Amino acid sequence: MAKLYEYQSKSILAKEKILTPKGILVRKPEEARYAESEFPQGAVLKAQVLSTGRGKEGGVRIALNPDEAYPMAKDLFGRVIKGNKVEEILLEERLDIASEYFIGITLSDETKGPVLLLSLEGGVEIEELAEKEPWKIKEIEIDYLNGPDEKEIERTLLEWKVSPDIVRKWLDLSKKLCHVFRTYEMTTLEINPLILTQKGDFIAGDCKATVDDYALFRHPELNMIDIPRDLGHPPTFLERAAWEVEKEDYRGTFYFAELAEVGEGHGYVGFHGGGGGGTMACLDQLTRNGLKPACYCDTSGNPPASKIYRAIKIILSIPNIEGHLWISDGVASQDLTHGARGLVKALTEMRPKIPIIIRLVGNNDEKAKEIVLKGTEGLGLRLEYYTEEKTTEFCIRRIKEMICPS
Amino acid sequence: MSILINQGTTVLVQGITGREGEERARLMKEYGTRVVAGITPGKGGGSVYGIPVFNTIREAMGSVGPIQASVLFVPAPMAKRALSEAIEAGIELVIVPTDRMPVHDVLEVLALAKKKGTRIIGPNTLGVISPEECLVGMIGGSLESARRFFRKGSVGVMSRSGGMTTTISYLLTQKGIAQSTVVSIGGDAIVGSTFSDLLPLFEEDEETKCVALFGEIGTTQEERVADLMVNRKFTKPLVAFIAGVSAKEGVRFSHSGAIVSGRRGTARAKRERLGRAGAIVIDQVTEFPEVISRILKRD
Repeated sequence: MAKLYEYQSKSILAKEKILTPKGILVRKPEEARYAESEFPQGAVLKAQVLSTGRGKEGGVRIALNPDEAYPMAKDLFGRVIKGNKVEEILLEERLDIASEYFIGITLSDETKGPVLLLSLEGGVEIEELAEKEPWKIKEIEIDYLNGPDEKEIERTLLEWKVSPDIVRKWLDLSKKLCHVFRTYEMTTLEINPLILTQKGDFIAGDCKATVDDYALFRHPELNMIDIPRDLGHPPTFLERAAWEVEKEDYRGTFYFAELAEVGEGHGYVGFHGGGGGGTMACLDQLTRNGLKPACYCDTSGNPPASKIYRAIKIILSIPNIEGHLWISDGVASQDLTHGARGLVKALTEMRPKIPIIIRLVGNNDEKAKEIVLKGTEGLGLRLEYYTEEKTTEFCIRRIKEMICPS
Repeated sequence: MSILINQGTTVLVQGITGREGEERARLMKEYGTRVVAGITPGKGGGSVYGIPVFNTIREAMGSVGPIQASVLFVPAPMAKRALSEAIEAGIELVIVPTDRMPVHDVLEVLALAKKKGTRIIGPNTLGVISPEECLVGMIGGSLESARRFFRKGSVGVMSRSGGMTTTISYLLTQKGIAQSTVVSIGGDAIVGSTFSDLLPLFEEDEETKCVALFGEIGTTQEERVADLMVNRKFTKPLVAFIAGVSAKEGVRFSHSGAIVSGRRGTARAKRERLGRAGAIVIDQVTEFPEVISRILKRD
């Protein structure tokens, strides 16, 4: 999935005739000086980061007078909010708020369709509300072909004692949001808070949206998305490099995410698996054995040697890893000789000094072993190669032994 | 017995003249699956490994008679059309190995399938195998491995990971524990048939004595399995492994479904719910054979 920044989601809402506050995005403190003059009633400064709960971390400031905005922006730029450096700030007009609500659409793997979420309690963390007072959130199943059941929305709101003229606004907004959700192939869309102004307008106070990365090929208008991957942090240099390898090459899958800021402490290993579930299970096993995986890397499908060569080079470029482990078994469609050739090329070029353990089981595994052992002869590597005769658990314990000899 | 497919199931291959389609059609046929027809629009009249090729499903049905299952070897951008055709033609079971299918296409097709009563497996599945009877998809990879990895018996296997579907079955087979039906349900966030959709079939199947399940972080699938057990809709022994205990929040682990968002979808919560519902939750995939053999001996 690809998360959109608040200002990006809001630009989509605005295009689809949903009201958003007047706003200006700034990328330097000096730009805030110009922008502040556009908000004579003062402005709200909002750090543009992809993590939730920025308000509690000081990522939202209110400038009561226009001339307060610049110093506030200066202070906010470069701060780190939940691991995200503030590089963009959205300045928005202050609104006359009458009430704050919540509206959203999410996907349910249970109903296998979208679900509309409504609540009269906006501005709070919705997950927290769902846990503590679930009755305050109404979930309404959306029929993918026909849209939401308007009668049910109406019934719910009337039960909540919402006045009929405001109910009409909710209905109108629900329909518009369903349209946006479908048109841009989103997987979540949330307006929180949804602001009812003193004048009686519904305005999107904040907006979070994620779009389906599998559908981006048919959405050139979403080219604002940087790297469509859920990494939990802004992409690192190596994650960018990995994405460059993957984005145009559909032969097999290469998935790479750095899991730690490597640097402090011992026991970090480069980790490479084959196949989504198996790689994650192996990661758990590594952690249970007291090793710290520096990355999650999965090559599966049937990638060519060139892709695996780059994957291994990227892993070995993580600073301070003390060992490297590549474990892959049971991926039915993979020809392991491609991987073997990629590995030989990467190791020949990089000649790492750290211990390396490889365990590849599957199609052509004997041949793959031969390629690697022959190809790395004389390179002076600390490499051990296993196939079916040794278990994954053995390999994990072995690399631990090689890293920290007792 | 088995679930979903057996030796009598007639199978159609959509996209049969493509590289994947051709190779997998051969695998299925050689394994013994009754592959009765293939579809590639514009290539009707030809044949692939003796399987007649048609332009449309209606044409194929008119010529070869009723078709019970279809499997799609069609690239993601075209999968929606192909799937819709299968649903409209009244095929009961459609298996979708297609990878990276846009989720809104999946939603649209599933809404249609619900109306027509079609069962969909996938997308992003390796397929289904009822060992020594019928193989649909690409599970096993080659004829030799499909025969070696899977044996006909009494354990149902289900997994959100394709690779682990095979690995678990092979671990069992090596210890002489054979399988009734093995289902790779697909790793996407939204799949046509979830664990809890399929467990009632295993419950009904007399041959199945026990089910092995490979779950992972993300979605609510494993939680709903627990609900099913609590409500006595599934009463056979269930052995489960959940991957992602060490997963960080907000990071996706390959599969589009494998992500913990906020507090939802953690491996810990899933393990706990399943354990409380009476499932045997194991810490390592390699424990499956031992635990299951104990269960089978007990009964």
